[in-house]
Amino acid sequence: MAKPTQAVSSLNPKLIAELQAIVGEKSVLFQPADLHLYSYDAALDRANPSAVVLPSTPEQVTQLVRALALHKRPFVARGAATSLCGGPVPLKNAVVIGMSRLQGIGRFDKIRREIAVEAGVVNLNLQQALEPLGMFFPPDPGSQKACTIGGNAATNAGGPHCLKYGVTSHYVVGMEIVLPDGQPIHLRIEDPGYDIVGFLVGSEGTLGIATRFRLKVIPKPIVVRTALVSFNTIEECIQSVTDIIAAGLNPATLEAMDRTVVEAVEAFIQAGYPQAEAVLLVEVDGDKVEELDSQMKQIEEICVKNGSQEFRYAKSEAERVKLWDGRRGAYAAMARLAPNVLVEDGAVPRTKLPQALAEIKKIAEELDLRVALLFHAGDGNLHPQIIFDERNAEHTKVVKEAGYRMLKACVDLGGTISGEHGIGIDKREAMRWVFTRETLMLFRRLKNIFDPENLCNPDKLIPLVSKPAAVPPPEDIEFKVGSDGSVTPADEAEMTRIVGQLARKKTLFGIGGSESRFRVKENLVIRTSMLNRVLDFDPANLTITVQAGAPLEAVRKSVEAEGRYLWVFGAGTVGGAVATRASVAPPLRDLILGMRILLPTGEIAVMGAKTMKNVAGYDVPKLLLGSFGTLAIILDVTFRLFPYASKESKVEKTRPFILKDMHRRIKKAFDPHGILSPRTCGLTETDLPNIETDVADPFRGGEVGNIGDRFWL
Amino acid sequence: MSANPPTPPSSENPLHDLAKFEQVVAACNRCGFCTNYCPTYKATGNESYSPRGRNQLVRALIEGKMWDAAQASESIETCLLCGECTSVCFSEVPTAKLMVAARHFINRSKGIPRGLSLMLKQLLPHPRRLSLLLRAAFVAKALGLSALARRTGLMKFFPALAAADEQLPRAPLRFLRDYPFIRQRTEEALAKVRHAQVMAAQKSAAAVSTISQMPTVAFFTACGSQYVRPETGLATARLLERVGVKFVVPEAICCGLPAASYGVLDSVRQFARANIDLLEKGRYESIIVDDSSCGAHLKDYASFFEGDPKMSKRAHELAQKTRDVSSFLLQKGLAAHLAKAKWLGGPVAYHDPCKAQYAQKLTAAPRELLGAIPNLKLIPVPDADQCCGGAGTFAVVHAELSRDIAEAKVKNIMSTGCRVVVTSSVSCLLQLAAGLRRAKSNIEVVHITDFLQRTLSH
Repeated sequence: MAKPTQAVSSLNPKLIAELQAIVGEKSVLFQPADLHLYSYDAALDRANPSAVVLPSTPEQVTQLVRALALHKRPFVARGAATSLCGGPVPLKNAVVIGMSRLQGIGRFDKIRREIAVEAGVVNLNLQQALEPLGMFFPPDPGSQKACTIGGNAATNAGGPHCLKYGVTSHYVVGMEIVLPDGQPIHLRIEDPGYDIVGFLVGSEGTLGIATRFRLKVIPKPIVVRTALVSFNTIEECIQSVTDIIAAGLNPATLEAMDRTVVEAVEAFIQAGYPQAEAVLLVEVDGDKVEELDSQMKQIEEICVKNGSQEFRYAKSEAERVKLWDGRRGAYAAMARLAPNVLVEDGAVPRTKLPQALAEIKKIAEELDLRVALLFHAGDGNLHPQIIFDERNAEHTKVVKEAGYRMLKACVDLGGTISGEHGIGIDKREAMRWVFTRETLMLFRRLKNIFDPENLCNPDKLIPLVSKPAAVPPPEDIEFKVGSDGSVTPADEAEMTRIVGQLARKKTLFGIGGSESRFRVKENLVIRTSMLNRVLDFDPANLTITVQAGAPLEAVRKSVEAEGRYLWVFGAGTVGGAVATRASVAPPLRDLILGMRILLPTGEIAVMGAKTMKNVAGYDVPKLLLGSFGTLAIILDVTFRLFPYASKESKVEKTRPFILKDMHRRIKKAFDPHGILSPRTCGLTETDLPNIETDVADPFRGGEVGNIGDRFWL
Repeated sequence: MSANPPTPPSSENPLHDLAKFEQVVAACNRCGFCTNYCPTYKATGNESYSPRGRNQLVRALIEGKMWDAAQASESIETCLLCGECTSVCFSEVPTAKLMVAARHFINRSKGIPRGLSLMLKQLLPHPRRLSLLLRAAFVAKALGLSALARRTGLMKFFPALAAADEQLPRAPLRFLRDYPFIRQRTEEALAKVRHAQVMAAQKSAAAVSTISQMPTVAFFTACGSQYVRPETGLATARLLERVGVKFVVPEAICCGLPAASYGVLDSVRQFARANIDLLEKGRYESIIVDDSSCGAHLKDYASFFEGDPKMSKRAHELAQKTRDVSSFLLQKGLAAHLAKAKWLGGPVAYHDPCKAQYAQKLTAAPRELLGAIPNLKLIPVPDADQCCGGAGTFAVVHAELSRDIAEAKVKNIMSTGCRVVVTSSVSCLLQLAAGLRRAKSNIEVVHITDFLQRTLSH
């Protein structure tokens, strides 16, 4: 007890002095007690940092990153540490950069409906600042009372209202981010070329530290109707949700909770939830009372048909707020039942919700665990919460196993491992279930071009991939080149073989769809015209998967015949629409749920699923937006559909862009040999050798850090 | 994540008293909802100053993962004990209680600083000594010694003294119990006690009837109104008189809240025992307290006597009788008097002391009283749920942090455009006044009874 207090830090004293010179002596912490308090987030994994720095301005963040990068010390940005996946836990004894003092909120831009905020602003504080302006920021994660905008952007956070309004990436229109080498850059979504902003949102702080954001905000709906529906079984409740979505209704939220959740919440705030086996919190909002009433009526009919008991409206704003406080406190309230709760975050297509529920219940029963069910049911995002006590190591192991099995069940149903919480440490190994080795290698290359030293939130997100076994190259094939220099493979398999061969021979080529928007300048052009089928149309789940060469207008017409609407406008092919980012309103970037691409290395990368929310892995499809054929061949795209027509449909004429430094770096990750469409985007012959040198090694970085005993390792 | 149980508590182990909170602190699942409500976290952005961080330190201490309690002391000592975190915590982790226990633990392993021990053991429990000392200090202040010290730069060497001096720009030379109006009622209280003793001995009908005619209401004089703002105590007394309540001012000592704040638990029990003894003698039905901080602590005595059923019961009985002055006056019909008063002084804001809103869940009564005054416009203060950062001696010991917290509070108060802030604890009153002075504001801070009495006597 009586040992003397010592300042222990594994950091070099010179670096400490540099950090102190930037933020002041008091804002650099390295006492063991302080380090202990920066070792955790709201989940289980822990690792001590070597120091904590608390900057007060974005400029200080830049200086800190620069100093740390020079000393090659890993670092991690941390907001409020409400993460549920180990996101801000400092592996490799990284230095924690605490963002909590960056609290600035800028002036509201009335014309663009945008507001600038610093990364440490608490979500709820922003909502409060917007309230008097009649605006709101739709992402409303359960932790909104504490979580920061920086954290929201890092995990592409959702929340109950994203069913109707979409997730964080829909609302981040610009950012100032310090790259891992200490270089600050400003990005906006209108910048020509790849949607880098969209790509960085959800990258979990592994590609840089964002210090400021420009957020799009929207007017608060004029009328809101909130109702609480009770059911005798959770199955009836979930079936109602699936039916409401399939019926083409558009509620703002559909939140399902079981009895365990309701009881824990009621014990603290007495929100007025009924003692039922399951409840559904439904909210509709809009401008017209009649429309909402009719929607609510249809929802009620569906619920009654599925055996609902009580359908009760919130009678006042106070009652509504109370109901929401209850819902948002569900995770926190679990602490009343046991010291720890493992909350999983799988997502499935909405039609698979009843099956996913059955699987989860089966796993819980088999392993004899107490599980509380809390679902963002409307977008198929499941939060089973397993309660336990981490002090019982054996039990903890079983709980983790159960969590993994539940995620696996979601994946097997065509879903994903994380709808909104992120991957962090917790689900890193599970990434293998949803991504192929080639896709993981693409992620790793992308990480490497941003962060070659693996300094920025190291060892998160991407599992280690082993080097592929050397296989002899396949035999060359003959393919027919038309008089115009174009090749039109008959199917995906042939296209893959051809591209593989071009890669081996380092032959330059371009990609062409219908060339209705721009002309491809390469001598050899691969045409996607034969890849023109609809692969999957799921009207009940409101999704469609369609090949890149399919004509957009025909696809639009065919879904409209079923009462569903694809909000991508203009002529030409599907792939062309994505590659040129021509359909601007509604924003195309918010409509893409998944994508398969053929890399100019001959490998196929697969991203996304038929789920409304998906934050697993880097959002690579965003980079293909506006890529003008410079990154990869789009094979097929999964779009979100709507049960009603869009109010707007704006198509802009866009043209190929000149690749700047950042674009070239990103291109390197996709196209290490620099063979894809160089001329189309203004790369000259002299640029080409530059592109080929310094190919990032995808196997560098990513040693397993200090994460304790993980049962799957 | 070791599964080993912590060392078994024994009476010699200083962890003993802390270890009994093992389950309580384990209920913090680190969700972080509390952070954005904690004034010290908001002021510093530092996890070590957050409720979640503080709870995790206590957990580490209990689980034996931190070998040096001194490491945790800064974090644990800077908690304001306001209790707001618990009010937003879904598992209601009692951080303030845990901090008191943790301070007790640190005291046991580090020892109590001599100055603190002197104050808690030799000064506060002895009203005569305390009066003498404070009078000497206040006379010195009145003679301009502190101003002189400030000018000569001498104060720089005593930052705590300087902060205290700043917090207390004017000090009374006459204390509350010196006023004949109060002294007379102290005599009556003594008489009542004597009568009660006689009655116990004689059981005569005459004695019984005498005692039944004697006042059953006691006015507990808090140190704040006794030594710092006697006008507040006088106003309370006048208001009680106005609503026709017959009362006495019994002998009592400091409630002992400072001892609890410093985690000196044996002292807390000494203060509690002394007051329970003194107050039981008068067989009162209601004990009126006009300072929310003291009121909350009097009601909380029982929690310090866990495992002592006899004292626990007595403490519970005292808590039952303890009444906050606003709700008592409201119940006795003061609103009807106020309805006839006149207020011409501009908009008014109300500041809820934490010990009122969190410890006693008391926010409505003072607002109802103020609302009863015609023409009085009561403006809500943004972030009214936040502590002002006064917290007794916190303002002096952690002066810089306290000032940062006050700054945010004062900004919110000034944003309302009010002319007067009313509150119900002298600690808040001094803190707000100091903060407003620094902000060059002329908003006046007034204790609720003082405000009501002034309004009624216009």
